Amino acid sequence: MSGTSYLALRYLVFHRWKTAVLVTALTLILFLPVGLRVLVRQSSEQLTSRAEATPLLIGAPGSPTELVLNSLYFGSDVPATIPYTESDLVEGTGLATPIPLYVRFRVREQPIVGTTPEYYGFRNLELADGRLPAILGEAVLGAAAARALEVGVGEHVISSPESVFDIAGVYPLRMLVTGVLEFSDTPDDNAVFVDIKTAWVIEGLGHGHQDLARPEAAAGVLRREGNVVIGNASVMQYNEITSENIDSFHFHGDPSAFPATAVIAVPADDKASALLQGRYQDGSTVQIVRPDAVMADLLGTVFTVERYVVAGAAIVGLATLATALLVFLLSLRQRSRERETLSKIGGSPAAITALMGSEIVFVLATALTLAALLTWLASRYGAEAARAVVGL
Amino acid sequence: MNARFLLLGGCLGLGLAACGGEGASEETTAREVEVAAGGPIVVYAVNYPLAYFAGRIGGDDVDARLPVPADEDPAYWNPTAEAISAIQAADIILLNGAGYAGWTEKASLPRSKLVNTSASLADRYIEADESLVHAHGPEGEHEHGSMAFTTWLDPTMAIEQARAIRDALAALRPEAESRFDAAFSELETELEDLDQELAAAAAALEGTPVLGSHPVYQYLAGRYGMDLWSVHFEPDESPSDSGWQELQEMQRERAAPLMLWEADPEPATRVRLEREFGISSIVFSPCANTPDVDDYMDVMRENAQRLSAIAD
Repeated sequence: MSGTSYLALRYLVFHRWKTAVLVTALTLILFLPVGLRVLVRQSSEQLTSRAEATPLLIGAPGSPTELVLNSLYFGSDVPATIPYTESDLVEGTGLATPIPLYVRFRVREQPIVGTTPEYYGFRNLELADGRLPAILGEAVLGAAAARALEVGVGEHVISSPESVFDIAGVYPLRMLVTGVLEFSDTPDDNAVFVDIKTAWVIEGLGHGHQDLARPEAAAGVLRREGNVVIGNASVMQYNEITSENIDSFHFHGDPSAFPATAVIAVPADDKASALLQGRYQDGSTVQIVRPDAVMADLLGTVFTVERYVVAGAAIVGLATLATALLVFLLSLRQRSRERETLSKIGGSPAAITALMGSEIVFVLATALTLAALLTWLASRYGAEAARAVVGL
Repeated sequence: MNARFLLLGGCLGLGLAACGGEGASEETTAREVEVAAGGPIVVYAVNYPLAYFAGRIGGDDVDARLPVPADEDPAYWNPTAEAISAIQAADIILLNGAGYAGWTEKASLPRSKLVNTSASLADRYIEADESLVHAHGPEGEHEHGSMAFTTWLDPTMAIEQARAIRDALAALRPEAESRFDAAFSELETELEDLDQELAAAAAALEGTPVLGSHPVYQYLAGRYGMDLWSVHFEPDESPSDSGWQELQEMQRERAAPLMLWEADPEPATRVRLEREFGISSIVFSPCANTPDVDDYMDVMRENAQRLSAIAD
């Protein structure tokens, strides 16, 4: 190391707090616009990849954004529902395989995704442990959901009431966890998957109760009129589906009219996709959307905002750089006696300038290195860190 | 617009949780590849007639399976979770429809693999006359079980169910469609012959009330215009006093000389029916589960022969 560099380093170390503040400020101002851009681009790619992997989505007329966010990411508000028979209609066209979704209820913070077994194959979800739900009342958890709920195979999860004030609303259903999925790094990790019929049971469209025809249920019988048994309010309804009581579970009404929040349609090819979209052009009772187009529209808005944020950060950066420059200039002025001393002991003007310049170069180089390191960390671990912070 | 702001607020968290590959699972893909390569199409059926039809139509292209143990009635069988897991992996799951095999309503089954073989016959369903209606809670009155479901006992309906199976197989393996068509035609002819045999036997019983030991013969009676009344006698159990009383009341009204049984009744029951009520017992097996010997067509022909013999 040359004498100039040594002296510059010793100076910076001696004034370590001033140096640290300068390096931190410069690091942040260099990192923020770049890091933000990296994170946003990464987010958009990830959002887009899931949207692109979901060919078509059928839902109730309304906000396509809400429909996509609810169906793909299990976020947003619950969109209006469509009848389950829309799945049959899609299947009837022979153009696509329908996968119904009913995403309305939660187990604490984790979304309950009511669907059919086709979903697991469609999303390439593999089991880490156990098996898929086989009967009503069984659930399989995403990896993150299992961690968050601290349950495993053989244990139970309970659906949460939609409102603490809705004491007469849906009954919480205690569900057996039959499997845990492998980590997929998608929103599926956070979900509690059940058969869509189980979601209907949670909603109260299906239920199990004492057999009113049996003597032990006599207390629950209000009156009998021919083959009609009128039950009273004391009829015991089951809040867990077991092999002992599953026979008593039944649905009220026509299941084809039961609700779904969306139907994922997986067409055989582009032609089938176009034909299917053509059939829903009317859009009066249901709408069909291409999630990738909806997300592209949304991300366009995000990028616009991102540009403002980056521009703001750049302006702040310029101000910070100007401040840093001022700090350096003031520092140089304050150090005029130091420069005189260096001159008197034989330091040439060039050597003195090199010494002062080296200090600035060291600070800038350190800030640049740290900013680059932070950007790399953001691109490598930003996703996990964001999930940890947001809790997804 | 709210959703846009929601997205802006939660974009990073949501988005970062949204990466990863998509597509068919390895297991499904492997299965699809196997089927595409000409491996047998795995078909699970909820009862023996459907499994038999699938086997007949599909031949070597089909591995038709009935997951129900031999000593269980498929209509009321409750599969284990493991059995359902195996069924979930099938290529086609054949349902009888009309509410048959209630377990299918409570199982998680891939809907794209389900084939309701009697869907086209919904307007020919017969209402069961023994449903229990009850009312409680805000939903009000509702009933459990409302349709007779042994549809295949009407050979013309069995033909339509077989046709639905043919169509499902052809959709999955179009290159074998001609083979499926030929096998279906053969089966159709046999079922038409059976229909004629049964019609001839039933014609000889015209105007004669017939008893069913169980309410499972609605479609048979409906097809051939039989005057059918049912009790609830089990072949392997002695009828209860109330059962005998119910029979007595029925006989007072219409004096049926014949009772159809799903299997051989207990000798004592047979004797009492003959001595006290003048009722002859014959077995007309619905053949819902795999027969110990013979196959579906053999059992049905034997049914027709027994019916014909007693009618004569």
